[in-house]
Amino acid sequence: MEWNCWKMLKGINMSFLLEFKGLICCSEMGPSSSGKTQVCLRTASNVARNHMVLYLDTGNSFSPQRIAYFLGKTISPSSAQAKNQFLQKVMSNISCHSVFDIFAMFDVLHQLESYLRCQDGRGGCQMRLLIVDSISSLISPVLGSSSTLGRALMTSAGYLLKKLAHQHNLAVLIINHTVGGEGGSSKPALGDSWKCIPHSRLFLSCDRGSNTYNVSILRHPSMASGKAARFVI
Amino acid sequence: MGSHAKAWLVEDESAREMLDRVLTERPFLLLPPLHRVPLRVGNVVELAGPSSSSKTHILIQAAITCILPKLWKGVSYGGLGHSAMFIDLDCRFDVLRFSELLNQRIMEAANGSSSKVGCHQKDSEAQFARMKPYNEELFALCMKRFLYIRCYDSSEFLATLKTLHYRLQKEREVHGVNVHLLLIDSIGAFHWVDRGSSSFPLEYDNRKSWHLQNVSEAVVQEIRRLLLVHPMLVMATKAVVLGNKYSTNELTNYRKWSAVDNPYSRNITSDQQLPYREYMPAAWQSFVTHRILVRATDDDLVNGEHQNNSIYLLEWLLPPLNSLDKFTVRDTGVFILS
Repeated sequence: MEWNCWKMLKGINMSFLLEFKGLICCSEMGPSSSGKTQVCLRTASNVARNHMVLYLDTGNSFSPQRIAYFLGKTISPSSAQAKNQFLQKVMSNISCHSVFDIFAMFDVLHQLESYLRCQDGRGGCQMRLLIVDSISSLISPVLGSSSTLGRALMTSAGYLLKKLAHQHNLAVLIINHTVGGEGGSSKPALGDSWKCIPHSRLFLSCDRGSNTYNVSILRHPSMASGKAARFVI
Repeated sequence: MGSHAKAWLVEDESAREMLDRVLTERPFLLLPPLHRVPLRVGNVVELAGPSSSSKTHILIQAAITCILPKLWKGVSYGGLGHSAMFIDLDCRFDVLRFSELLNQRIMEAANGSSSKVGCHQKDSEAQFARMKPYNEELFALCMKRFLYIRCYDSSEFLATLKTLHYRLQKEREVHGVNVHLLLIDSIGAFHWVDRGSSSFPLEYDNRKSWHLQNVSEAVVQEIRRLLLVHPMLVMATKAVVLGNKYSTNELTNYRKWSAVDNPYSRNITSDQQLPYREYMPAAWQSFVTHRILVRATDDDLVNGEHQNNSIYLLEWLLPPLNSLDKFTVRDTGVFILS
């Protein structure tokens, strides 16, 4: 994947981001097979070199082979043993949990909160990235138009993620889907109440029949929306 | 006895003196882009708008105008020189963006005054270099006047409001300036959580149950009490969902669809119906004295090579003015177009 284009969108390059901001809650959305999971895996592999990553997987899309492939492309050719050691070290920094409903996610996040509270202050490898792939499959089943409990759960989940991001210096990356809107256009899932929760929102899409993907900013605290970039996997 | 009674009738000050005193202590604020209606302490302004319509930017602009001094080392900054309190319920405040905007305002004011003097190139550079430590000192002074609190749920918000009086008193003693502005980012942030939790009854009967109406009434009561002791201008943002007629599909911007019909060409009649569904309880609705609606348009303002700033529309709902203001957000803050 060509990551030079990311430099255009300053603040999206995750390792650069973590040095400066450290607490962004970023929501990515796009139609199916628009590269969202690939972006997550690539980001996880980048960050896991030096920090710990927690990956919450709702659809069994986490692939260690893909991460090993991304890492293998970037390390210089050396002995197989050194390569293995490097791979082991980086892979041990990523922990993946499968969650299939929203209450399991709350469970994992509360455990993470108590773990981080003990870890804070100690040196060593700190957790810096939390990836939720994807939040729409957790929240959509509870979101009905008549009941208010679904939206209350969605808002509490959002605030818990923001609290974790702020108090423990995490960057949170959330995947959302798109659904059909009026006139055949697509709009992000989870409705307008979700729009108020993430700090920044990105839209990913891919061109049919080619490997090029597009990303554009829908909302960012300090950049104008509408900026776009293209990348290939 | 007669002399004592007569002493009661002697006046403290005449009406003109009182008006002079009140106008200097509690001036009218004309904050762009809210310059159409002068605001005073004691007013409660509600900025409603859909997501990402620059409401927080308007609050930041007001805060910066409040914390900048009027005159500092010979340069006029046009601020009020008071403190501002920002209660962040949305928890999305970007302090880097805030400091950027503050720096830009300081530099703009400093450069504006130096160019008025009409010095040569070398002189202006030397003057700018000399001003750099001044700017940092001024920046630090302004940031000290900006107070920030973040709340993650309604109980934290209520606890903050109940203890805010002591905090503001302490700040007044330390800095010697009053807090003039209370900014609440997203007063409706905990609306769904409070609505959901009202279905869980408390065990004991002597406490009030946690209903949405009770929470809202308590918030309004606490802010009213606070305004009695610390007169402030209250500005709150509220995220709303506009009807279909007004919604902009943000994804069409990306796909460069041309809008077939212009939803903003409606005639502004004197209808009092709100264009969005009001979800705040009646206690808050009756507390608000001014109401504004902000929304983003589909138009972009091409400004330089890569800068594409969206244009926003601002409409006064209370008091109802038949005008739409256009503005855009730049590096120096909110910039009014028309």
